[in-house]
Amino acid sequence: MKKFVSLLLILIMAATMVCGAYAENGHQALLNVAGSDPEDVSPFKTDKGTKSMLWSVYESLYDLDPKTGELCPVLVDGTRGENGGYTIVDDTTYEIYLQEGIYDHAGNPVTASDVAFTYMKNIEKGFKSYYSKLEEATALDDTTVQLKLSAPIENVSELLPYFINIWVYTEKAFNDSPSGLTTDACGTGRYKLTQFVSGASLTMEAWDNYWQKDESKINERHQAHADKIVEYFMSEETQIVIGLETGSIDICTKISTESCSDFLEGGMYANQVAVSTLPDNKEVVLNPNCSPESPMSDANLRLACFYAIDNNYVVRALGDGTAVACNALGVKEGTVDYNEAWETVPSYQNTYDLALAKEYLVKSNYNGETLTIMTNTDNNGAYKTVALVISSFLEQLGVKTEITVYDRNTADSKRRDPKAFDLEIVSAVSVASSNMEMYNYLFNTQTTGTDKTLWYVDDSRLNELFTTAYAVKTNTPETMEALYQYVIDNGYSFGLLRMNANVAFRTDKVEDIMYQGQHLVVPGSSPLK
Amino acid sequence: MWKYILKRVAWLLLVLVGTAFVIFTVMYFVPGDPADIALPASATFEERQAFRNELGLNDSYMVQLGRYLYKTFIKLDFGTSWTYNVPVMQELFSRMPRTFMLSLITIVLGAVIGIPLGIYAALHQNRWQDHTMMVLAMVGVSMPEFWLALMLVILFCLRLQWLPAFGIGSVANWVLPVITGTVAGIAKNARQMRSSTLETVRSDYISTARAKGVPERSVIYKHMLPNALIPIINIIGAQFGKSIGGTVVLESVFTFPGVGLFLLNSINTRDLPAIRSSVLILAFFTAVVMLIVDIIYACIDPRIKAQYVASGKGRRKA
Repeated sequence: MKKFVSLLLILIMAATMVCGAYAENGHQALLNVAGSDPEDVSPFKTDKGTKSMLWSVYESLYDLDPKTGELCPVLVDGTRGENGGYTIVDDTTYEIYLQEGIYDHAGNPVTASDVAFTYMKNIEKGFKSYYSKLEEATALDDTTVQLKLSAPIENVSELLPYFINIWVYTEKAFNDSPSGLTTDACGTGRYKLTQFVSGASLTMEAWDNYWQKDESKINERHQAHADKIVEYFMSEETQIVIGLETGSIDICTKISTESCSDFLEGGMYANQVAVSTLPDNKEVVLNPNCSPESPMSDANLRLACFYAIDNNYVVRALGDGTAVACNALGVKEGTVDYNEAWETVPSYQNTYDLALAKEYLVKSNYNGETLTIMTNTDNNGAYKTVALVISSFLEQLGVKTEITVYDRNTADSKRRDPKAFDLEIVSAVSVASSNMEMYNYLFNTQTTGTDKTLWYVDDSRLNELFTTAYAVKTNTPETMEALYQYVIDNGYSFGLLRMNANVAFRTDKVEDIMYQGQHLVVPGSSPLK
Repeated sequence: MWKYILKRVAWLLLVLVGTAFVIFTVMYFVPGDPADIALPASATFEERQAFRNELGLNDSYMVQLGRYLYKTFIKLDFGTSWTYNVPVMQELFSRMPRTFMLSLITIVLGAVIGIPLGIYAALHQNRWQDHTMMVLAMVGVSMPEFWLALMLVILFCLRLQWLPAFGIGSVANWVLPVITGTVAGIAKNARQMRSSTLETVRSDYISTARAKGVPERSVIYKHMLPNALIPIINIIGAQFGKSIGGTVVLESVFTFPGVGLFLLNSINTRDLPAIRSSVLILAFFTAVVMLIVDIIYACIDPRIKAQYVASGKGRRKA
């Protein structure tokens, strides 16, 4: 028996050492990235955050400059057309002009008919909402695509998906793909997808024959600095931290602030790993349930609650560097319609005033009911902490609360029951270039199919102001201002905070992190050392 | 014997239909709208309704259940995953070999190491060898799998830098998941084998064999071991069935793309076809493994065989 045990121990030691040596030799990829599981590599759902790596494989007609929010031509020829690559022929007809000489990774030429095919195929795949008014896309010639719409496009944010949420692929590539481009990819981007292991990793290699030969036309987000990128789909943050510490991970596209402590100033690995932090382009909002079933249908109670909450304190409670407080209902960076004056005009967004809150409470019909604060488990349970702090503030006001926490999908379902909650802490949608994208989510009644918003606001004046500000012809700073003020005056939503999105990277390999329009990391274009 | 097997196979089919019914009913009542998950946030009410109609989610419970059972058991169509956008069986079968292999290695190692240790402890009952092994076995059984996994990662990946912490590309990637999965198996098998051996050691036939002067080696290998191993087979079978579907912790910690992780992700995203099919397939594998265990049991345990043969003869006479 002793011999058996000894032999076993020797075998285990030998095996681990051999494997260790093997593993050491196996690290040949130039850039190892820890990211989230995209589930598939299809080019249809383009705004899915976990698919950001595919941004280097596929290209859209335009992309957004993250600093200015402006459209930058990618596949279109920016020198043609009245609007830098496209022309509005009439209210319902658009013409888009492609560059010449585009071809995909398989060598197929990309023509206007392929772009038209992409539009129609994406709609067929269920993504009609990107191009909700598109009736037909046709090719007029090899480089001109005509879009026929059922109604005029009303807003810039409505127009953007037509140009950005379209990763162009050729009809031939789609038909040749055994999986219909679900588990394999063929785009026009700087990187070729060479391997996709579902649930584990994807590997991309720089494409030497990139169609755009004129370097001056390639913007910084389309550079290929790394020869090969391997993205591992990792959910366990301890593993990611260890990967960064040992150097087996070069970039982690998303990591919580708590896990970054070793990498921040004074941390054990601060000289090897840096953290790039950007406030998320999604605002975490506190929305009242305005249905008659809830006490929050009372405007005075809403204002009382909101004035009793200090969102700067809420942010502090989440921990240093975890989030930033919002002084207005809107995202500032990269948006064209944010008004900096909102931050200075006194409102519950930037003022904590318990005395005023108590005045509103006296005016309200609040009868000591217990209010239910609903939230979800996103962001590692940070929203639950937010709910706890808000609950304490409301307790101070004399409003009783209880907290219910669900996973996000359950919370989305529970919202359909007006009796299930009184206040909800929820992350609004990502804002790419216009805050109307967020206002659309919060105040558009079309998403519910009723006259009410998702949070049961049934207010014809709000609807009118929203429709005016949303329409492209009447979208002016004045109409936006009127909508904003009306929302704030009635306490329809409270922009609490924005979570910080941390990107960690090895400083011995990566010089800086490159972002694209929607605050997503582009590892291949990040300058290397 | 064949009748016994056929009877068990018939039961297996019933178990599968029952599982399908239960999982369908449970998921039907779980909150969460697939349209919210699959479509962009900007999708209108009409687009969501159209999506639900296309998938038949607006039909009544009975209609949906009937359609599901018909498709699954008559047409053998397990559907397409709403999140992975590929046929569920394709995704499952691409992951199954990894999970199966991981389970097989951990079970085999658990048995190969755990069983001799258990016998060794039993043969040295109440001596230091026995005490040491049982303390270690208790530690092995008590250690949470995720904690052990993280400790191993810290030791072998961060401190010693011998092994990779994640991935599936090389043999080295498998070492830590295998060790983590094996430790509890070794401990359980050693404890079970020890008590089983001690029970056998005290049997009359062992005393008789020793009294007849049979060499100790023969007593152990010919008389004691075959009898002591019988309960272990059942335990190993159950471990195998459980580990095929229950390696979620291992797969999650080591970013190991197996069936457990697929199932977990499917539950999070309310991917109903993926959840239903995964559970059904796992139930099938577990039931098959247990069937094999029962058959082996019947083959090697003369008491069960005799019982079955006797009941068969009895029926023929009647």
